[in-house]
Amino acid sequence: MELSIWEDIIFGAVASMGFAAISNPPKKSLKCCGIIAGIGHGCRFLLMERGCGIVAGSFVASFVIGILAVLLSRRAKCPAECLSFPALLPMIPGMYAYKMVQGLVGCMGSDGYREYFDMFSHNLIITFSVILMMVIGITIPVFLMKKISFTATK
Amino acid sequence: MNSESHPGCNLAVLEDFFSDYSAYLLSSGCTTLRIEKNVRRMAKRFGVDCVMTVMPKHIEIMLSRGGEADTRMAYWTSGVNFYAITSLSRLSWKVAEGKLGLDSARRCLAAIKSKARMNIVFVTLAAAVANASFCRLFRGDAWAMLFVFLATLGGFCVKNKAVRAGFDSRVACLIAACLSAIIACGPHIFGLGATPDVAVATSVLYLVPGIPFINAFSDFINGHYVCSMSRLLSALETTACLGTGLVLADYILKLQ
Repeated sequence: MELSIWEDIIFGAVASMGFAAISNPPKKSLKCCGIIAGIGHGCRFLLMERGCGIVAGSFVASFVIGILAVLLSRRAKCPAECLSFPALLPMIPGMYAYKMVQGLVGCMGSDGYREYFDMFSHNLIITFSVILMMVIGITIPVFLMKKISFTATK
Repeated sequence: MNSESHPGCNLAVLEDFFSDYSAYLLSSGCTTLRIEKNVRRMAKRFGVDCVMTVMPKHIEIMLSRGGEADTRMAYWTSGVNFYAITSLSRLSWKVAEGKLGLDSARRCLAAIKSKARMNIVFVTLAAAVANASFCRLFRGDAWAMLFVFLATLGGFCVKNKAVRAGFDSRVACLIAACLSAIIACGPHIFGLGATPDVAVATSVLYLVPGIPFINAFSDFINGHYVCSMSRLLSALETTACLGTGLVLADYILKLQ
């Protein structure tokens, strides 16, 4: 079933706010999380639609999220990561992570070891690369705008 | 400056506060970089030097002033809590700027610790809506979204009840994943919609420990390798539990 850019932005924002609620965020920050996540997810959607891979797409999107989080952290009066981490949640490669585990569990069975091992290793590499690039993506703006990043709660 | 905010406070009392503060921050899911920044900011205010070792589950802090030194280890268990991270960061600035003395800061820390989390009914509904949205992001249709919503609702409730009943959090995760996957098999069983596979696959994604994964890599970049590996292994453990829950659900449904 097709997905439009607007759906991606809206559902990305809703997913971010909902998952953020599990981590007990300050109520004021929820709206900012949604806005940042929507823009970030939309960025990744556009990049991937144009043939960009999930790793590179996630890196660029998380860089955008990082910049917005630092800029909005002063307004929301909370640390940048309280905005950027929940905004990243919809981009966490959960599907790859659980396929990685499925592959690992499959390896323990007697049939199709090769197939399951390929599934495990492929998804392991994608999961770790995506998360690492996402974290690098949100960390760069924190250091580029150090003064704002660490004085937002002042 | 009032008398309680005087920098020359008793070192042992300062240690109590600092160890308590940093351990709570660590258990709230704060990055090691933020913990160091906040603690050093306050230490400077009280005129003490601070050396910290952030370990997987506890923090060791050594404060020194002149020839005097004191070391303390602290441990705290709580879930990820962005409210606490925000409030504790604000508290560190207030202390650093001399707006709060040690006694007031301790009272403030106790108040932050005792603050109730968001209403569980709201959180459960929010997680269910979020996971249904997530299902749509993976191109699931309306039926898949509906069943993912119900699966998350059921799984989240069971997980919370199991944790409250004293079950290990990993076992609770496994049970929740199994239940969610079974509920999400609805479109498959009743032949509803065109994306039943997406429903099953996304039904357990609310259990993926996203924040610990991000924190692990953040600590890795910051050079706290022990803490990073610990957080990563803990996150992988949870992911393994939810994967096992899913496999178990598959096994149960195949049996029937």
